[in-house]
Amino acid sequence: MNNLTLRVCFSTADRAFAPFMSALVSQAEKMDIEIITEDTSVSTGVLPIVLQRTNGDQFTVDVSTPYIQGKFCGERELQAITGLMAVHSRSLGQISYLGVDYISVTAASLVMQLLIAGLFGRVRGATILRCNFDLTQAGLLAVGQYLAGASVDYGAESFLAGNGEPNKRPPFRSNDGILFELESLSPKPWQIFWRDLGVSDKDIGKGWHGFMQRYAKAISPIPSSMINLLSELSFSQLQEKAHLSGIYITKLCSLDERKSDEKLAALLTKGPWQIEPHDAALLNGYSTVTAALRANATQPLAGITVVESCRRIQGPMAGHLLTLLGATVIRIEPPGGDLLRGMPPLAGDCSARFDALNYLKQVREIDIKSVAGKAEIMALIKDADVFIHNWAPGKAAQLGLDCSDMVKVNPALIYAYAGGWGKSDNEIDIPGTDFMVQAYSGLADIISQHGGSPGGTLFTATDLFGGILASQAVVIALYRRLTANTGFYVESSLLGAATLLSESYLNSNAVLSEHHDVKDLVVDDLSSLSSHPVLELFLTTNDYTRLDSLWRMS
Amino acid sequence: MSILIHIPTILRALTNDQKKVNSSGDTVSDIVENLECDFPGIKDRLINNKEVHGFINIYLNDEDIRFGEGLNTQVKPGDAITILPAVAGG
Repeated sequence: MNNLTLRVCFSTADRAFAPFMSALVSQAEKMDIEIITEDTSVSTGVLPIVLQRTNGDQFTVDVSTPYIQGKFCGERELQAITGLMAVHSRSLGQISYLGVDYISVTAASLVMQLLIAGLFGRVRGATILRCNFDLTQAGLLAVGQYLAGASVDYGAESFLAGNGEPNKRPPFRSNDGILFELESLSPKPWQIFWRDLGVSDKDIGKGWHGFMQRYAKAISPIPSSMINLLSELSFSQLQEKAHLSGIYITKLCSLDERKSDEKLAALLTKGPWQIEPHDAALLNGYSTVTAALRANATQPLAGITVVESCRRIQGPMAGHLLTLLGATVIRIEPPGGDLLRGMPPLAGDCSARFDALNYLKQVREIDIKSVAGKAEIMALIKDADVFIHNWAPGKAAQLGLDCSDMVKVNPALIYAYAGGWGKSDNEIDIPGTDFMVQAYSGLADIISQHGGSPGGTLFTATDLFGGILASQAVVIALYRRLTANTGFYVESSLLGAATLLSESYLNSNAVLSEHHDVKDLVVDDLSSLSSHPVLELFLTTNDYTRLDSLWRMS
Repeated sequence: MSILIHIPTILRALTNDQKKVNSSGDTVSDIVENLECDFPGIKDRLINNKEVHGFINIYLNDEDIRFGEGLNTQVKPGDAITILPAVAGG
């Protein structure tokens, strides 16, 4: 991206924006974008950020933050008012800051993709020169699924933030003092593991249902008797039992241990994305042409077609963001539909939480394992701009739906993989799920030191940010494809997301958000967000409450 | 013998919108087979590879059968079965 320049007028008086600015500059450096910052003495609460091409064409995002009680909202205030603090604190004994500048860092990624998408639209003929972004939007996107669950008409979820029991949630502690996370991808290994420890089937079932609530509800109520059993064994004994049963455990890495990861330097300098052009030999004279925008199109990705085969949070979030920028997303679901459509609470006949990430997509039910299903996918791919999946490592090749397979039918395709461990997929033999990644990456260690929790957060921090980074990578590839005359292989990961969230600590240059007492600002009932004077502007309620758009024109 | 089965919203399209249905059998497996006769298609939504589907929980009274005898769990008159979609994410 070395033909781009980022111009920012930043007043050092804008303390509220400091973590956001730090993250934005860091991302621009990783993307090889030249940065020009001009210091202004006036603090207005709005940061105009300009991305400029060498030919002079440019796009501006005006970034704002609310002004409450005589000051501009920084990270802690934003976490308080958007409900992020409340979600993080559901499993804790007090209401606590998340421990990392989550909203500022994710906002930097969102603003960067708005800028690049804006320029992409300009090249395709759009007349729009600027848009607005408020930092609260990043917070509302983060709590989106929890907000959906809390705002349905029937069966709405309600939690008292800061009223949890931190000793009844992961991480666990072995008798030799090692803090660790545990993961089981299905109930069978969980049952084998606990039966071996002498737990009754009744408690095993109770524990499983409590443990499963981590992903959707940010709580994990497990019977104390089970947790106590873990603390009677050494970590190596537990490792052996885990291995025999098929569950996974990993210790919480300290920040210093993570610093010694030899793959860390590449992630920190080149960023959490891998974007590589397809092999020229595969192109065989094929020329990529991105369609111009329709005359009346107002969103920069209008006319772009994305095919998504994704489950759960990370991949669907990426597709969701692309729809918010105007792309047409065709979501592939198994025959009968994704079972998570039934996950309570429901809004109408669909899970509110599921709908919040998928309501703008078209759905095609395809059995991806069948010959006919594969042919159907290939037919979709032929006319698509982007394919994105978040399958388990190795599954794409096994299905015959890997990048090399798809490029044969569409050399201009952007093939995106939203994975767990990224480049380390083949070396790390534990599943790349949110909480395992938090533990392994050192993020859990940071959160335990600064976020008032005994380990990582039960808010799905890396799944959501992983999805944001995946869509950012796709937007970058779409922009690069305008001139590259080839499609791209694009990869992003939860580990990359965790690393970016930890970056200022890993580089020992943390721009820590100012420690204000934000107790008065905390929104602990998510269903009240839609009537919050600052937030209602960004929310819409129709069966449940959600962020209404990302692309807000001036 | 009659066993009461609570059907979740997501499966009611298959049960003519009935929230509760009655069926019979000695085990949960028998009941699923009988449900399939009355409401074709429901078995595929409940069972995968001869086990309860990963995203479905079947409770006999208050206990998840997955952590008992599974589909072979015995049922007796007056028992209630509740089918619920699992809460999951990630």
